[in-house]
Amino acid sequence: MRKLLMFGVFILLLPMMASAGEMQYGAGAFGGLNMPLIQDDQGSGSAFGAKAIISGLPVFTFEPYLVMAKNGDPEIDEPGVTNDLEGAKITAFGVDGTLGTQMGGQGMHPYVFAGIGFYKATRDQTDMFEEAGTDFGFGGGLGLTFGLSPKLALDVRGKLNVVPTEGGSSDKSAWILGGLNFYFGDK
Amino acid sequence: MKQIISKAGLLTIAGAVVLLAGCILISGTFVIVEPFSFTTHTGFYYYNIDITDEPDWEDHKDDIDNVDLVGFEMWFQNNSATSVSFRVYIDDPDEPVYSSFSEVDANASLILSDLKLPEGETHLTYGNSFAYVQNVEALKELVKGGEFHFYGVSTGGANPMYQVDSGMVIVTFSASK
Repeated sequence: MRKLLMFGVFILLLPMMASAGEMQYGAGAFGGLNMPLIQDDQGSGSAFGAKAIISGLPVFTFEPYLVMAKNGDPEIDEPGVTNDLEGAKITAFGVDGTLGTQMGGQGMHPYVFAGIGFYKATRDQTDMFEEAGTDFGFGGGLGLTFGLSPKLALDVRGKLNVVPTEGGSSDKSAWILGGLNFYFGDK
Repeated sequence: MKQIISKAGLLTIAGAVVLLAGCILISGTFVIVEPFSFTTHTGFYYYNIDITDEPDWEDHKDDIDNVDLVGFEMWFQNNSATSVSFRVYIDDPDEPVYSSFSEVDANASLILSDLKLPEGETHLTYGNSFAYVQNVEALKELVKGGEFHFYGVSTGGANPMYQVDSGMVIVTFSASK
């Protein structure tokens, strides 16, 4: 609850943080592949989500997001082992900062982004092994927007997520996402 | 002067990010599957689980951060007309192998219980085994050492003609360098 409150306060502060220039807003929806990296106990699955897009500076945006992801069932390649362990479900929310994007307009715009978030992974079968503690993580990657019209753009991105776990390890995943961004206001 | 400090700060931050990313990226999980077949003792079954000769263990034993999961795959045959219940205990390898069920029950850690075995064959699958797992902290601590005593005990039934055909312990470790 406290994490949610902190996140809410952070989102409310974003417009002040981007106070230079006229504020512009947009929204996006996306989906794609979710690939756990170097995790033998998770398989590849899917991810879907939505985001708000807030900009007060040229080529720079803040993007609060919510993602619902599902890992695939792991495959243990060992004779006799029944592969009936399910993949984890992940709820992630946070904020990314992007550099290189444009709030609408046509053309192709590559960009970089990085951000922080909370990643809650659950698997009902193995909940007795879940570690209590923070689910704080961070991520970043590269993306490309294609302006389809002054207010609509196709957005494709690859994101690496890193969630530190007990003892110095981390859960890592790659999201390959595609979706549409819609920009509010006159262009 | 300000520019120099600003550039140095940026370089420091960039270096820290690269170092942090490098440290965190060299980590992951690996799974070890250890087959076992119990030997019958008076009042219980026994096996010494030892994964320390597994190649993955030898490669990563000094880098293990956590035991993420411990599950089981087991096949049972109950030839009696009544159902029995099955439990698993584990204990430190430095402890002696116990000679009676009462010693096992008094000294070892109960990590799997309430498994009902009806007449005939029962197959406990990996995914389903977690429903019976308990005492997770003791289980993780002993498994992290790579070797432990593994006891099986059946209860109920007047004289169950009963056996554990075979089984596997499946352990998921997380490790980092």
